[in-house]
Amino acid sequence: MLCLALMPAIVTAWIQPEGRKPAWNGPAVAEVTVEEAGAPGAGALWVDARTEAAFAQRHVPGALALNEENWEALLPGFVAAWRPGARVVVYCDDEACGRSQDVAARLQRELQVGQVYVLKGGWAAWLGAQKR
Amino acid sequence: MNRLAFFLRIMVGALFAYAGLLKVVHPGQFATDIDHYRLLPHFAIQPLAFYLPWLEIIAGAAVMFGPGRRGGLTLLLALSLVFTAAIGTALARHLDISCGCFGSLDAGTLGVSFVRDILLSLALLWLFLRSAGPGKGHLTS
Repeated sequence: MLCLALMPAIVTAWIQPEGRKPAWNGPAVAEVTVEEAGAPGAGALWVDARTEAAFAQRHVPGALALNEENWEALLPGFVAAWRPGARVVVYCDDEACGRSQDVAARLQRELQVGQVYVLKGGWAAWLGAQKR
Repeated sequence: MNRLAFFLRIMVGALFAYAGLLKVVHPGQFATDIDHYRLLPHFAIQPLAFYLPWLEIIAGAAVMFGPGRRGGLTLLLALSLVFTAAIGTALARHLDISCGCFGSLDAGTLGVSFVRDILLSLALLWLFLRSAGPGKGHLTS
């Protein structure tokens, strides 16, 4: 069975929809630092991929909540705020969280949002930058 | 009891096969999900993202339909224990990630996924012990 699974896995790797380039070669969505991301509201749309409880407690001013748990309910808010060509910066808690990568990848995949970036270090990095 | 075992076997097999199918179509997304656990080196992630879903599909199908039902059960039990341990370590490290168990259809918190995987492991363990009982070369349906 272990060997049997190997055959379709090799075939899938060969004919995968993305072509023959690697399906994964590190984090899917490019990261930007707080400085590179630019100020919220200055052309960039900030997306908070943390839980709604964390968002309600505190978030980057002007950011929208969008996470995979409530994707369908929160997506209309994003669609209403997003303008084609606008830069989107997605963040979650910190360096160790993966939510922002998930949400950013899904925005690219399902909505064909072009300029999506993940905030390196997430919310923790943003808080740190405010103290400086 | 035989009916319960049959029902459980079909449910568990179908669940794993379905989860595998969801991941086969988006290997890149699954690789990202594996990476979020920060347990494996980068070079191992992509091959695993292609291989694991097929293992789930084949083992799930074997558990449902046989032949190789006991082998399938052994594999699914091992996979389930590994997944539970991985999620457990992620919870212990306070990683804010999604489970990655059902591709883009993942819902609920990591804690919910942890409880679900424990229940799955227990169900698989019961089926496995039942299949390994004296005089039982395979599960009865």
